[in-house]
Amino acid sequence: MYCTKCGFVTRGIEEKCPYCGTNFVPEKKIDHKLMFLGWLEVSPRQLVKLVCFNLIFAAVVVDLILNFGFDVTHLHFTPWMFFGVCSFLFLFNGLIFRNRKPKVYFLNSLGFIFTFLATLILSYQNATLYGHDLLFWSFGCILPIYVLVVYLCSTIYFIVKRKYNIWSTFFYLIILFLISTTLFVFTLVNLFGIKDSTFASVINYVSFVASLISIINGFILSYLQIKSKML
Amino acid sequence: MKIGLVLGGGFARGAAQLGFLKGMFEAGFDRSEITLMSGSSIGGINALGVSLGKVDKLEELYRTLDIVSIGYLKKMLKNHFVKDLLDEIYTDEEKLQIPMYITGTCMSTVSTHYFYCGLDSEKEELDKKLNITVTFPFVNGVVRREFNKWYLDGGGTDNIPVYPFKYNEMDLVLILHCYPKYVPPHFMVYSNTVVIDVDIAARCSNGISTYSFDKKNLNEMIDIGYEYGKEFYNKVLCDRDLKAIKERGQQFIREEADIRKKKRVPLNAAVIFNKVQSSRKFE
Repeated sequence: MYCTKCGFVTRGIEEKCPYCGTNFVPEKKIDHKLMFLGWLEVSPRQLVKLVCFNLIFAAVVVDLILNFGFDVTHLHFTPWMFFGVCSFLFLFNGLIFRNRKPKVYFLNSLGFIFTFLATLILSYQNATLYGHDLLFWSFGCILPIYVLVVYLCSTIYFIVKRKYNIWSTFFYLIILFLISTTLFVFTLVNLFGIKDSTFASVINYVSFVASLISIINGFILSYLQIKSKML
Repeated sequence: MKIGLVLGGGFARGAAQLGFLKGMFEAGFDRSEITLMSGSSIGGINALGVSLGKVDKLEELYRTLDIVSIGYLKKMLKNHFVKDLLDEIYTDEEKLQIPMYITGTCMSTVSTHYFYCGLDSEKEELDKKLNITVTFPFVNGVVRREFNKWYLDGGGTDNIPVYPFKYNEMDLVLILHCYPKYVPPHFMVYSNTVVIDVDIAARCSNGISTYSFDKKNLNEMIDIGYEYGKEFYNKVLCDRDLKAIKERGQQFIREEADIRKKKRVPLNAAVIFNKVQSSRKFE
């Protein structure tokens, strides 16, 4: 940041000149020379993401049309195709183009799991697996296991990185809590036959308790952090 | 042509830097061609010498300096070494002839502050700023309290203070540092400015200590730097055609690359601090 009044320069967090008090003019974050399409302010990485997103979206639309519009059940894309493509995108975004923000990983995984479940349910509407339909497997097993895995990964991340941001943590916690509460309600009202299965009920209860514990601990940690900041 | 000069920190290697500057001036480089300077740590002191036109006086001081231990240096700095040095080369009537930036690490916000020293800077203020930039940890005190903030040596977070040139566009920026593995920052590389970085300690053998201020060591470095400065001027800055300077500068860097590769990095602590700063991604 550059102070136009006294010439002072700082590379740091100050918003105004510490010596003369003049407000710094905010810098443009985008380096136009590094942009692939300068006029659009799109970097090559963003462009790849945009193209991939559009391809996926087009595939979903085509699949839905084929699934509901025509009687060609064996022609439309399978959930395993989506599993493959989404896994590739997830790895592509996460590993090759590294974006170290945990929020991006979280949203990617959320989008991935819901897309996968939706295609699974829509593609095999009347299919059963080990005596249960796919709605049971989706809401009774895959989703609660996903919630538990996210909790496990975020706990490891928290311990390793020692980063705790109140607002972003609550963003994850609220989404996960809503998912696990919905699944818990499904268990109580015996939707999709979840209550009849001991395994599905237990895994749903565990994910709900984990969410409850996390959100309570989140409140306590946030309270302590706000208190220490106020001091 | 607007020429910017960046003088990096490097403890005793500042002597080689001063020798390099003297070599350039004697070879024909006119001091008045410099538009702006930026100095960190010992480079800040050298920048002051250049700005006041007292390179010879500063060289004399360096050549007579004989600090045999860090304890002695600590004692000297505690006893207002910077103030004494300023008194030697800077009288109250004199003013800076070239504006410059002095770097300090603000401990309160862990950010780098670049103090602007204009042509009308007061001696007292300059004294404070120079004291900040040479706050070698455990030598001139761990930190210094100036301008209501805690400060550490400017080299703590930016030992090669190129950053002010992001806001002050130049035609040519000469970066004189002592990091064999230094690469100029991207905002300079992608700008229209011609950037030439020189490892002023490239000709100093690994046996010449970075941390020793003893007379023999300093004199040896000044002599080596002097010859190197002359050679650099004759090879790169012999005329004022910017395009030709750029080509010759790049050629010079390519020639020096092999020598620099073989060098050990003598400033490990500063390298780590700089990595900490860059990891914060302020830019």
